[in-house]
Amino acid sequence: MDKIRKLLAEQRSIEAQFNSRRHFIKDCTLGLGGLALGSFLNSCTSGSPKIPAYTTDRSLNPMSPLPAPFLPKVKSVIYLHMVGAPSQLELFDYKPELAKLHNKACPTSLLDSKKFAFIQGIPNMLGPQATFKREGETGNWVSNHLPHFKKIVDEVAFLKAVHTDQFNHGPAQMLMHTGSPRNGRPSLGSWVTYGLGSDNNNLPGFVVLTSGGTPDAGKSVWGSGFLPSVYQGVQCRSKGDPVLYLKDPKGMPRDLKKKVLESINDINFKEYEKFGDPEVLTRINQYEMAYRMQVSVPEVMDIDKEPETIKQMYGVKPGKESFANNCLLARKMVEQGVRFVQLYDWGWDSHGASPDGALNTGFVRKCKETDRPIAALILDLKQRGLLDETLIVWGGEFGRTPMWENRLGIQNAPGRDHQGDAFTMWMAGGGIKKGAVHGKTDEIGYSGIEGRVSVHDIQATILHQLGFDHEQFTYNFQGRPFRLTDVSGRVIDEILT
Amino acid sequence: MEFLIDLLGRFHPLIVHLPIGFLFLGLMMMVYDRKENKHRKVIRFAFFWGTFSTLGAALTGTVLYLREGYAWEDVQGHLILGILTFVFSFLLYLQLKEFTPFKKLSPKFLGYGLVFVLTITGHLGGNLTHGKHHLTDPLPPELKSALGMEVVSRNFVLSPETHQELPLYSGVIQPILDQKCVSCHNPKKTKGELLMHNYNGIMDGGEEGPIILALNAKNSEILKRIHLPRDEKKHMPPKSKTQLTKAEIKVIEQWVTLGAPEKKTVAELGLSSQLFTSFFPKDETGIYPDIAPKPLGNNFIDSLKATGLQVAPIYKTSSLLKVSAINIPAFDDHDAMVLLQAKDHIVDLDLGQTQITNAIFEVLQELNNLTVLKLDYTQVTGKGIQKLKSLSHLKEINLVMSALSNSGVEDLFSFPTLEKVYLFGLLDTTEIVEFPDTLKTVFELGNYQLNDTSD
Repeated sequence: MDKIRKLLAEQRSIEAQFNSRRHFIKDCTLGLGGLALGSFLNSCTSGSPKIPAYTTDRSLNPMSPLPAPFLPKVKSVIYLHMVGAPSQLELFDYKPELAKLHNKACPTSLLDSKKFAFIQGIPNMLGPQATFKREGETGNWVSNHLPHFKKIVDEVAFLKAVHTDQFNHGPAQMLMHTGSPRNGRPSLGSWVTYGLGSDNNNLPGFVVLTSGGTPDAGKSVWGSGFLPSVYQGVQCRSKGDPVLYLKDPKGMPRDLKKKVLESINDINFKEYEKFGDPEVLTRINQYEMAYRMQVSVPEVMDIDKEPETIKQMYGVKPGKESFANNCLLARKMVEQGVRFVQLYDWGWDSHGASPDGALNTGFVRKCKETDRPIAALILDLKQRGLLDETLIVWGGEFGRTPMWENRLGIQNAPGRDHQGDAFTMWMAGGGIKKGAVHGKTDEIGYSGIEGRVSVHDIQATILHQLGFDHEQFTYNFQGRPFRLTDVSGRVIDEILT
Repeated sequence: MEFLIDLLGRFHPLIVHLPIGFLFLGLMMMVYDRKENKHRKVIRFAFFWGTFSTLGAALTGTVLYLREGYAWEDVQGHLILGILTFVFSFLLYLQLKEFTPFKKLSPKFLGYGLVFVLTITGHLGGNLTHGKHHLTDPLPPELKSALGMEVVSRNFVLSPETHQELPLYSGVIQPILDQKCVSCHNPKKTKGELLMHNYNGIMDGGEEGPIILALNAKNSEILKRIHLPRDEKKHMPPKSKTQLTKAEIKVIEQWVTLGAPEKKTVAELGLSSQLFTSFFPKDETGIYPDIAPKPLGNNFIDSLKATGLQVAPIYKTSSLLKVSAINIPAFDDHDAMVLLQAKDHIVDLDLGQTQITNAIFEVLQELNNLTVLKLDYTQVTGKGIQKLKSLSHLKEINLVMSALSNSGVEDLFSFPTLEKVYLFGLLDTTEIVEFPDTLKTVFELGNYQLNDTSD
């Protein structure tokens, strides 16, 4: 009963979203007249439209590919989100000055009018818990925690002064992926598949792969918000059933399933002929797509058939849920024409309060788990000619403080608190300037002093690479146009070719 | 007492409306009265005052022309036709009055003539005060080009190579102002007493004082006006006119902040190219050829799609096509014949993971503008691949995991335009191909490996 009540409540809240004050006011003036007119007009339509045998019309297949408004630089996106926010100070943002301040009290001028998630009173500073070297031909700094990254350092462009205005995981993740820290907006992948569709008819256009756990913000980070729900991310799992509820129940052979579907579709089609409602066609299409996906998804999700050398390169763990598996899957998906692949790797919240979240233990393990697969992903895309038509984005939801986190006044294992003012992200792939570095932080990596970019700038840039002008790409909802980047966002030309 | 004459001239815009009204009324009455011919007297009255006021308009107009420094080239049409209007209406009056020599004139001819000269005179007069493009400006660009008018691009273009040598003011700022401001702030039409067609005009400012405070962009009237909300009456450009773009505003702001110099170049002012990127010509077709064949008819595109191919323009308004067989693994050489229907349009073709063989090259060689070709995971061994050498736009071939033979690889060495070839995972690895050092084409062989680094 409880579940039913919950479902009903959810239904009501969704309906409520479509009825704003704006609508009420509008309806007051036009509503009644409109109702009357509507009933007149209805009687004017005659016959049902004919549907062609095949079609790419959006009303039939909401995922049918559409050309971008401008020439796109890339076809697909692989977004690697390190959930929990990895420390930029132990990976890419080398701050020798900070080492000198190690374990010294933080000057109060740095704490004034700042809010922290956990830091209380006056914390000590924490020097870099890593050693750094200039790597590759570009000589960009890379920490010793990322031994494989040096092989791809010349492929990526760093953004060293990204900033966000959120300092807790959930809202910051929402902002990063939906453009707003609050619920209700479509995610990046949803916008992209809404705008471009997807080439492969047998696979979802927006795939989500998680490792280590679900992001703090929950599934809304790949939700479709106010866009039609077909554009939400489809979570595929590398362990167990690839897609939940896709497998036939026991005792349901595939040919019987096909017959059932055919009968349902026939009935639905009769319904369509009677009323001419395109939503019915969408439903028919969705049934058929689900049926095709039953075969094609397990096929693309099967990494066992990959050659041994490839499996080794990624360091996959067949049959388990791992970031390495997900990276290999991401390549396979992109190779099969999936538009947007979103990876979430959980476990980067290195406060130092537990071994899993300490910079000298759990963090080092996380680096190890992801370093090799990421390098492998880039190299594998490169050798297949896919790197030039794919955009790879790496980052967390914010950065970490140069101070040693001291919750309850106790200094635990080396760890850092949340920091939104400055953190590092990188992009690689089609149209990205190889080896570029944009943005600079102060001597201790506390704030950006040059080339600061916002979360909306990142989103504007991703859309730009896919052939959109982020200011023109809108969706009308509740009586006004909405866009991913809200009222801001600038394309970061500095890292584009 | 000179000023009285000037003042008289300035009454021209008022007086011109009298003859227009009188004469059209008279003409309308003529039409109304054409059968019964009962109201000659009344009609004559209209033409009497019409003629009289035309004379007034012509006189004040001439005064205006002589006293206010209009150029003869600009006013000649209006002036001559204005006098003709007077002549026609006077003749009509005389005809109606039935004076002997004029009685024989055809009122029909005079009427039509008057309609014609009156309309054109009025139009030319309007052009003088409101500008030549007063009526054509609001037309949508499609309509303009359909009418054979030149559609001027609203945004000017800078060259990425030479923009640093340009003086910031004359090379960038003035062209922006010319497009967005000068139509109202010029010597002919000087709204707010402000001239923006040259440096001195801008520096002199308007009726409310200077518009530029050097080094102080925030308090300069020009930027204050630009930043006002669009609905605000004082917002510039007015909300009905083409607005400044963000990049244009930024450049103007930068110029004022630097003291609004007249002669200094972009390089001398130390401005980075970043500021100007949105003025550079857009690279619209990327690696694809910069051509625009006549768009392929929908029925052709539909017949391609009917085979299961994904067919889409490379971007919304392009006629070049991207075609992919990603949804039809059974696609074979025979099916490929359908591609010939779009042989000038296909620039990007993905036949990866299909059943095609070497016979495909027969078809592919016809695709004149093919730029990117994917034949990965196919059985092509490369026999006949040299046929593609004649494709003058071919830049990328993906043969990853294909059956391409060594000789097939070597055939690609002589392709003149080829930039990149992907050869990872070729099935035939019996012999190692030797790649000459002189090749311009990049052959990506892959086989990357990651060591077991434990450091």
